[in-house]
Amino acid sequence: MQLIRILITHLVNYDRWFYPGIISLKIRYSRTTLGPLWETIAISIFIGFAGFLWSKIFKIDIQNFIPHLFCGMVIWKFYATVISSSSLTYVENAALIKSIKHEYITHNLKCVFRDFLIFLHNLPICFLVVFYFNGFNLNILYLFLVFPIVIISAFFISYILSLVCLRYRDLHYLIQSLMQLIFFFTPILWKPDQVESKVSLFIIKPNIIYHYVEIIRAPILGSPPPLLSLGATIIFMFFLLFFVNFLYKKYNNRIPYWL
Amino acid sequence: MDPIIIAKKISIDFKIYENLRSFKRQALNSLVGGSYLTDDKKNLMLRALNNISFEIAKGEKVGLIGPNGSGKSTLLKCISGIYPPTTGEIKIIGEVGSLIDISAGIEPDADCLTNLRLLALARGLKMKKIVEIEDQIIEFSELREHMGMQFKNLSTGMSMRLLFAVATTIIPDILIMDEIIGAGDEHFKNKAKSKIKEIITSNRTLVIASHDLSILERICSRLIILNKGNIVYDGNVALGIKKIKNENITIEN
Repeated sequence: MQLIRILITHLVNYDRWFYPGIISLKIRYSRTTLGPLWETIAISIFIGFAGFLWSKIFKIDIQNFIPHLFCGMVIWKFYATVISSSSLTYVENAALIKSIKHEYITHNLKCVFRDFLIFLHNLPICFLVVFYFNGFNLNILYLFLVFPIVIISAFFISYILSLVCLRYRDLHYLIQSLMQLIFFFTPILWKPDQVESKVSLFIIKPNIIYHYVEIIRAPILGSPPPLLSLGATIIFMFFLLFFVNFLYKKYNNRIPYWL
Repeated sequence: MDPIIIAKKISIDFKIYENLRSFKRQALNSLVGGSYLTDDKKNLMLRALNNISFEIAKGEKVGLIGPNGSGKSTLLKCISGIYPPTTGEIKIIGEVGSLIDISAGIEPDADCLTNLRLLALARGLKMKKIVEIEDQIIEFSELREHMGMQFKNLSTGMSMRLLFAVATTIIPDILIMDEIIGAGDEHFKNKAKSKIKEIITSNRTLVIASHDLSILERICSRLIILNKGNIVYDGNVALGIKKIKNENITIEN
């Protein structure tokens, strides 16, 4: 598959996305003292207060709810950032795309790499919260198994959204609105066991974002990733691969024309 | 000499996504050089290059001239591999480097050294090579003491010096230029001129678009005149310039 060959070449020759990725992160937080730690602080303050309040209002066991909320929010933030920044990736790099021939996927690699770095900044706070409430658990090592699935899928999603949102400019705004809606339908602010099994069957299980959240959240919270979620994300990743390969072959050359 | 750029009946069409009414089409038609047509799905298309063919041999210096919107930049981008032809075929033997927009890839909020590296990376260099040659680039730009400054805080002249230094350090076999680039104060302009002269007089193949007849006369061995996406002249520079003057072809709008 041509796409896989190109992807591997660019992953090995990482200069064109690694350095620009680090720089774009540095620029985002230039002249701030704490840099990307502000993300962690903001998310911690919000979840700390909101989690405490909700657990009181809904009478949920704080020991289970706060770690669930913390992990869910941090993971959701990563996916939401990838989705939102990807939809504008090619538009933001228009000058470069229209003046120098290069592999456009490097912009997606840069985007996913930068967003994953921010996610890694926020991850230790999840470990701390889980450690405080539930203690240490070796299942956390499953993260090494699921991260490749997450990163590869994030790259594929990034490419699809960059391309489609470049061609159909309204989609960026539609996706932003949908993400807010999906957030409430995904068990982030609530737990799957709080709803009836019918809701779970029709709302939670078909939601692929839930499975992507769950494969990271479960190991942090101390259990192996659910087989259903693991299977769903692996199958979805391969589906994305074939879709990306189709888009790459058919439309990659059109990118400069659509700018 | 064997050709290293071979274009066979290439056309480039841009789909117009904006919903244009007919009077707007006419207004646009008169403003831009290309011609409008519709595809089989009745989509409005702008034909920027119309079925053109040419060959460029190794070491040739080719000047492109024509009114605004005649297709010069589109042709340069097509040779650079940015716009693949909608129809026809273009074959390039060798590595192409384009100096179309030398500021593309700049991060104004980053410092100058970072921007130097970003620009060089964007032009295809590996980081290892960049670290090896960055001192040479800094030396040429005469901006050593400003390398820690944010790029956006440089004066226009200074920023052009840095951009010029990076762009002219990495020159492959086939060079594509949209207008001659120059930079900075009188002293640096002279330095830039001799650098450009060095690049041009080398054995490299050069395709340059310009509105400046005197530049094209000085550096090119062949002239292509474009109008509304068609080649209206391809040959000797002196004869081409004579044609422009005799036929009153507008080269600046």
